[in-house]
Amino acid sequence: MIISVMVTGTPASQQSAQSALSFCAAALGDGHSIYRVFFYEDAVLIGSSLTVTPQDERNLNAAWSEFIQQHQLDAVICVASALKRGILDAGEAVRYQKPAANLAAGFDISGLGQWVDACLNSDRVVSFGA
Amino acid sequence: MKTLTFLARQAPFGSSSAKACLDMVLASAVFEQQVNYVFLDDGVWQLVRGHAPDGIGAKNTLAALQALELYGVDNVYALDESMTERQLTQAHLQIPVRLCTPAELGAMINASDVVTAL
Amino acid sequence: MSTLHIVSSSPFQTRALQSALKVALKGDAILLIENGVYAAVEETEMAQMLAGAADGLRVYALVEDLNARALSSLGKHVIKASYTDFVQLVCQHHNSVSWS
Repeated sequence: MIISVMVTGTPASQQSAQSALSFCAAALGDGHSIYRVFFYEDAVLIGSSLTVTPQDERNLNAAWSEFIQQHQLDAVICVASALKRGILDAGEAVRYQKPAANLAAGFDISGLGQWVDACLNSDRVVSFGA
Repeated sequence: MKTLTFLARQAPFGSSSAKACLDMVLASAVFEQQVNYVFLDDGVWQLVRGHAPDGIGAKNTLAALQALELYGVDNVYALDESMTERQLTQAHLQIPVRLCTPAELGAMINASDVVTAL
Repeated sequence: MSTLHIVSSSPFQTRALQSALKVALKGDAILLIENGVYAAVEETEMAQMLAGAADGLRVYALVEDLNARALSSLGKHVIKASYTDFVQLVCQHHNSVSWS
């Protein structure tokens, strides 16, 4: 089946971004395809390339970024949520005259329309988070 | 066309969930999908008239709720039990909604393609 | 047509499970994940609520979340599910609702 996933929970303090990652891995392992993963609200923080975790803890941001690149997934960070929380790609950094961009590899910043598009083009949509 | 149902379950102002849900509803309406917008649990507090959020640095949601009609979102519901529990009636609300029972909401959810609760 | 209700918060903390049970129809399923798995603990008020609702409703709990929380004494009606089962439940049901 064609599955899309939405994540809304904040990655550093809630379990949902980890649950979503485990779900996506299981879905691909079971032979399904993932049309899009959409990060909304606090979940956009998963797109930061600047997180630093203690050595004995898993870096969930890095894990997501690697997973997306490894499986060439379409991973969209909601632009409205992202800008508010300081997640910017190079284009947005220039547009809003910010000193740096921090979007991790594998992610794209785009609008809510991408989530509606995912709903229209997927057999199943599953949400994770607050 | 798909049927997208949104369940607004959180009170306004204390978190951004109410606005996040509304933004999704409006985006879905722009794509001309069949949209159901259902307020339940603490979400029914979003509908109450007379909000004055200036003092807490928040925006009033009245204009956005009134925009629903312009966007063609006609199917706006509130769960009757959630209203009753909170001593709310239609007279307390800032926009007209249809009341639905849990069984009706269950059937609406079952008949939807995608359901999003925020 | 049936719905998978995914409940991710503890029933001792939020009303997510109650809300899900209120609208769940016969043939639907409940999947407890994250702190939602605390509803699976046997002989609690929540377990009774789930068992009472379980007529025509299947109740699953995610094994990884049960194990992480040292929950082994589950209500009789609770079926353990792996992440692969989770994926299959999503596919078997027409849609899903995430209650948190």
